[in-house]
Amino acid sequence: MSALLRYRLRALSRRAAWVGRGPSAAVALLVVLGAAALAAGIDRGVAGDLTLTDPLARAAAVRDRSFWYLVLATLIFSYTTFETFFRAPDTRFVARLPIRGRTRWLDLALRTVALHLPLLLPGIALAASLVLRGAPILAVHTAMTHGLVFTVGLATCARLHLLAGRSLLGEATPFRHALAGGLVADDAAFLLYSPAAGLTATLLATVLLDVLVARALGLESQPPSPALAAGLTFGVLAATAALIRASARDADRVLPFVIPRFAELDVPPPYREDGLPAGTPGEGLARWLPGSARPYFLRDLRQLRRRHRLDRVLLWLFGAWLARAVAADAGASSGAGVTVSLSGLAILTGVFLVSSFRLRGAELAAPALDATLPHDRRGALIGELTACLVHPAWGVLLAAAAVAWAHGLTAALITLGLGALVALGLTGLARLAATLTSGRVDAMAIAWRAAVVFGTALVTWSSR
Amino acid sequence: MSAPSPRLAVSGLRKGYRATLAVADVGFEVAAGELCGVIGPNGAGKSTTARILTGQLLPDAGEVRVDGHRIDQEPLTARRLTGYVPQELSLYPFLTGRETLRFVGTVRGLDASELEHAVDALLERLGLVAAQHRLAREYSEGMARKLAIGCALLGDPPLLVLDESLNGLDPRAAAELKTVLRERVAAGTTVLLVSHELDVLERLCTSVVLIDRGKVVATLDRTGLDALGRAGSSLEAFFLEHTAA
Repeated sequence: MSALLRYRLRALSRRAAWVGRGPSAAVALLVVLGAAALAAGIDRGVAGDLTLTDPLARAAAVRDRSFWYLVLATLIFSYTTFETFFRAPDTRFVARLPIRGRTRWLDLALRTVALHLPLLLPGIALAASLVLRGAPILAVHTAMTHGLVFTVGLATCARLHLLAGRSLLGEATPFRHALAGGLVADDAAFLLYSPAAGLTATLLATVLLDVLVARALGLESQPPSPALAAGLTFGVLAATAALIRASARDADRVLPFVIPRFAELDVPPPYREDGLPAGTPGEGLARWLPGSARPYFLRDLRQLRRRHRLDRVLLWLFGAWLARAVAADAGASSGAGVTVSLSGLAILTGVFLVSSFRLRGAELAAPALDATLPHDRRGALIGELTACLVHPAWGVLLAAAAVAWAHGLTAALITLGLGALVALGLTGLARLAATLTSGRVDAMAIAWRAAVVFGTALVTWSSR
Repeated sequence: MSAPSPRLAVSGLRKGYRATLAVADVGFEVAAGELCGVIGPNGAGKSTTARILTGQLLPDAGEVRVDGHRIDQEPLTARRLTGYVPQELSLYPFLTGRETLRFVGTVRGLDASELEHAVDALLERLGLVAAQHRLAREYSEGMARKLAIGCALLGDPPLLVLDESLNGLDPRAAAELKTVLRERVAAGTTVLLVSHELDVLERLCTSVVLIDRGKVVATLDRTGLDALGRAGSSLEAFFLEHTAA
């Protein structure tokens, strides 16, 4: 075994040993609790599926569940495999070493498998629940489809990404120019589409395997066919082995050239070809703020607007959703309309526009610069909160307008008042959470989003 | 009449990270209008010392005074008095170079007319005029370092701490930076320059502090530096002689 693979295995084992020591014990505990909660949720769903009396309907319900878990996993790994292969954190370091392309490819494949093992968890939980609830054949179906899709899916995605990478070494053609559509350099066009190609191929494999495994196990109207089950397993494993062999062979030739070529192209493009716009929408609000808050407001507003340009589109989508939701609800009481609008606003503010977390994340923050400057706490707080509230404020106005249209002025004024409270409350709490967890902002942002979804669902449900 | 208090006074500094003692016992003084070089082997504790001096880290023991203000007790005052360029650059990626300088100047308390003048002058001196309206994330490493240096120079803080700031600068920018530092020192600013560029420090500094294994093992003033040259020696030879292999 090559030195690189030995070191990779050592690194993976050290990562495993790290779990359970010191503060990581708490993280490990949280992961275990999360996995247990996931398994419990899946088990509850399975219990519902198994109450169906018709065996075909029961099998169909379980297969549906299994299928959608696989779709979710496929959606994730079709993209993350691309990231693992092309943007591995040690790429620049390894690129300087005399390592064969084949060895590096196998190293990346090993890392890809290790990183994606958690995606097997829903399948394992589903199969375990089916065994415990006395449905072993369905459990075998789940285990087979998940195992085979995981195996062949990862190999297929890795192969497609490598082929896309190989295309970087070819000449740009009019076809590639059309594919690139100005979004990336022409010779990188295939890279733009390789995650989608991986997704499509793996989804096709998922559909096929679901049907064929079900037939092999007799879950449809035909009797079971052990020969088909064995042939299927052997066939998929043979296809995976062939994919791995072909990729390793290709990688040996092209990977040492592909990685530097990708690194050359993988730089942030200019913000806009025609330069920055003269002003940022909302900058005028600065004149209403205390002098000490203005620089912080302008800094945060500009960074947020420039980095998250799609937020404006999000606001339009929110407005369109509100119009549809409130129109659909126009016959109901005005209270229901207000609740729907406020729920949407809470999700918009607390899940999508998480500005305080964004400002502290790696993409926008400059912690060392912040730490060297004289800091006006009050000014910074006012400036940041105002910048974070600009878009939620538009959300409040949209919500009030939608409610006014469907339920009249009084309901609109209630929406305006309560909406302002929701936007202020969520923005303020998000800032507090983001400030308290500096250093682990991304993890906290996920927890925050989950809490907002849970809280909104709870409040909406209890108000009905 | 008593001697004026030093601009920067460091005594008994100690800082550990878990089992590692990064700074064991560091103490030195630098007067106003001095350019002091801090040198030492990798891992000697130079950057940790610089971070403590600028209030980025709290020491386990010892004290740092800037113009008589204890920075652990008056961190805001210390930040006002200090311009710091850390080794690892940190800029707001979605602000332009000009916007970054304007932000820094505003929070450092420059008024509007003074700010525009200072920003224009700095952009000119640092060679960033053409790139002033580009986002910082589009800057090369050298340009980003120039911008970080500009942030530290804005508002003329009486103490400048520059940690490996000559790294990544092109020869013209490095020469310009040295000129700026000489001018600032002549105007009374105190500069602490952490660097491995021994030949530059030998020519530029009025004193040098050598740190090894977390302790100050030797200091040289300008007379001592000149004596090295007269004796046919160099700061590099002095470094090799006083540091462990």
